[in-house]
Amino acid sequence: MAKNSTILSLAIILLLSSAAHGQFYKHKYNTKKPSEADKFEKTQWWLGFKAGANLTEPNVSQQYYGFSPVNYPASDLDKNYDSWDKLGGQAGLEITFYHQGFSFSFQPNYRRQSFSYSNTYQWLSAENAANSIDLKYEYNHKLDYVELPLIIKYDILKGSKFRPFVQVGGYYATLTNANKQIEISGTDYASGNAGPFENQQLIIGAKDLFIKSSVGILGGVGVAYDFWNIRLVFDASYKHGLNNIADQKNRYAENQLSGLGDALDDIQLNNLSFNFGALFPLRFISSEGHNAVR
Amino acid sequence: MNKVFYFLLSLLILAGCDISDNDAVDPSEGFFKIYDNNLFDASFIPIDIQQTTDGGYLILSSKRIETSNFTGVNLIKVDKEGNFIEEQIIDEQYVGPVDQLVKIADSYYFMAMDATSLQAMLFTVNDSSRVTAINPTGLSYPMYIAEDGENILALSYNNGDKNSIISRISTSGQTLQTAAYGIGAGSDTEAPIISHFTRTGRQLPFFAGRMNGGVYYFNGFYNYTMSLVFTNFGEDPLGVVQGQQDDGGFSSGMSISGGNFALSRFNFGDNFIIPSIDLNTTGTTSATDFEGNAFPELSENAPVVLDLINIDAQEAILYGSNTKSGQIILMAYGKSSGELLGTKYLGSTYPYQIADFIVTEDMGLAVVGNTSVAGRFDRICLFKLSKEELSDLIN
Repeated sequence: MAKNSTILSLAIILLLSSAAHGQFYKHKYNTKKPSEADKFEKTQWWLGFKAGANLTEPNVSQQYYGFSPVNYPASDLDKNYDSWDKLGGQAGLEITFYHQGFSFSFQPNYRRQSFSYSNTYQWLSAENAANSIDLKYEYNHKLDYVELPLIIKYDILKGSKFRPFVQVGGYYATLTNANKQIEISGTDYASGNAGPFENQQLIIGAKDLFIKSSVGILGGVGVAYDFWNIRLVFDASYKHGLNNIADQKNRYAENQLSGLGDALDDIQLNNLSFNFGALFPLRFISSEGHNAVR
Repeated sequence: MNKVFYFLLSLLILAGCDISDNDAVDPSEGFFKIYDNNLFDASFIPIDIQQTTDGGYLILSSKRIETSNFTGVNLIKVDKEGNFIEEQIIDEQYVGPVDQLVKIADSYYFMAMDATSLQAMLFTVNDSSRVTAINPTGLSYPMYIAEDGENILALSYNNGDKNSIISRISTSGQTLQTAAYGIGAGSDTEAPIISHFTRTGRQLPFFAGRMNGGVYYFNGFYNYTMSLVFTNFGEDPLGVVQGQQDDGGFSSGMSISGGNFALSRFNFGDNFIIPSIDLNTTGTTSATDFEGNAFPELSENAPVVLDLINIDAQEAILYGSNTKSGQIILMAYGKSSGELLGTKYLGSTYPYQIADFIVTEDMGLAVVGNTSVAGRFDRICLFKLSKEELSDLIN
C-alpha cells in the first residue's frame, strides 16, 4: 500500500514537472504573435519570497514498542499522539510561471515540522498497593526538511486586484536535521511519601531515526493581492505525506532512548501550512505610467 | 530548463529508492526488547538464550522467590521479532538454574537443582518452552553445563566431599563419565561457591568444554583456587592453570584448536582479554603468567562470554562483557591474528549487563542481558543485531 502511494506521488510530481516543462516550450514556439500588452496580461514569470508557520499531524500506521510486557496488555504501551499542536515554520522562494489563469509554481523552502507523543508507565507492588511508581515520558520531535514542491494554481477571479486561487501539487523533501527531546516526569509513591520526580530533559540528535526522503501531495487555497508592482500572496495548504518517514532499519539500532522503551512508529506526516509571500514580476511592460501588473 | 527537469527527475528516483528500501526492511532482522513486568518487586536474571526452529527465541532466566534462598527458574518464549509470547514459571521445587541452555537435536536442556535435596535435575524443553522431561542426574549443586556432541558436559559441586565434579551425562541424565577434584579443606574455600549459589556474592565464572583429541577442561575450584583444569576423567588432573583463590583466574575461555585457547582473565578486579594463547595442558602454570590485553573500561571482575563465530566469512572470536559506564561491549578478534577487529557498544540511558549471545539463523547476533528499567527494576532485554550490523563490527 505504501509502495503504491509512493508510486502515485512520484507520478503526480513527474506530471507536474512535465506540464511545467511543456509550458516553456509551448510558449517558446508559439507562432501567434500577441501584442506586448496581451502577452503581459496572459503570461508572466514571478519570483519572490515566502514564509509562514505550519502545524503537523502524525499519522501512525503501526505502533512499535521497546517494551514487551509479560504480565499486562501491550495496548497499555500505546503512545498518545498530539496532533496539530506543535508550531513549525518555513521560509523559501517561489518561482511561478503564470499563463491565462493557471500558474505553475516551484516553491523550494526550508521547513521545520514538529510532532510529539507521550507514554505513561506504572509499576505496582504486589504486596503493598500504596507502593507504586508512575512515570510519564513526553517526546517532542523536530524535523528539518528542504522541500521541493511543484504546484499548479488556478485563479478563480482574474483581472482584479484580489485574486483568490486554488492550488494542487506534490512535493519531495529531503531531511537535513532531526532532534528529539524527552521530558520525564512522574511520582514515586514507594519511597515513604508521594515524591514527584524533578522534570528531567534530554535532547538527542535523531536524524538516523528517519529516512531522508519524504513525498506527498498537497491542496490548498489562497489569495493574491496586487499592490504596485508587487504581488502579495497568502495561502493555506494541506499536505498529505505518502511515505513512512521512520527508518525501519534504525528503529532500535540508532535509538539512544530505547532503554526507556521508546521505539519510533511507522509515521506519515500530514501538515497544514500557512504562508505569506511577496512576488515580483520578471517581465515588465514599458510604459510611461509603469502600470502595475494585472 | 532541461537541467532543472533532469535534476528533479533524479531527485525523485533517489526518493523512490530510499522509500522502497525502507519498506523492504524485515522487522526480525534487528530489534531491541525489554521484557517488562509491572510488578514493583519482580526482579529477573537472564541466563542464556537459544533460537527456536520457528525463528523465535527461548530465554532461560531466574528470579528471586520467597520459598528458597536460591533463585527460581523461568523460561520465556518470544517470537522472531522479539515480542513476548509466554512465560513458563517452573515449580519452586526447582531452583538455581545454571548457565547454559543447551540445544541438542530439536530439544533444549537446562539444569537446576531440587530445592530440598539440592540434587541436579536435567530439564528437557521443547520449542514452545514446555518442559517435557525432568531427569535426576545423581549430581548435586550444578554449576555449568555445555553441549558435548549428543551428550552434556556438567560441572557440579559435592559439598560433602568438597569436590568439583566434572561429568559427561546423557540427555536422559545418566552419568557416562565423571571425575572429582578436591577444592581444598576449610569452610573459607567453600564460601565463595555457596555465595555463588545463593547469589549473595559474586557470580563465579564456571565453564567447561572439550578440546580436540578428547581432553576435557573445566574452570572451577581446585586446590584452593579458581583454576582451569585439564582432565581425561582420571584420578588426577592432566594439567592445571591456577588462579588466585577467588581473586584471580579465568573469566571465560574456549578451546580454539587443541591447546590453543581464547580466554579472558580477572585479577583482583582487573580484566584482561587473551584472544589466542597456547596453554600447557599437562603441567601446572599460573593464570597471571598470561598478560593479555588490559581492558580497564570493563567493570570490576566483569563477567565475560565468548564464542568463535563467522562474521562476513571471517572467523572471529567474539567477546561480550560489561563496561563501567553500564553498557554491554562486544569485541571481535581475528581467530588467526588475535588482533582486535572492532568493538560495539549496546545499550544507553540505563545500565545493561550481558548474559550470553548466540549467532542467529540469519547470521545476525542475539544478545540477551538485563537492564534496570527506570533505573530501578531488573528486567531481561534482548538485542538482535542484523547481519549488516554484525558485519559493521569488523569492518
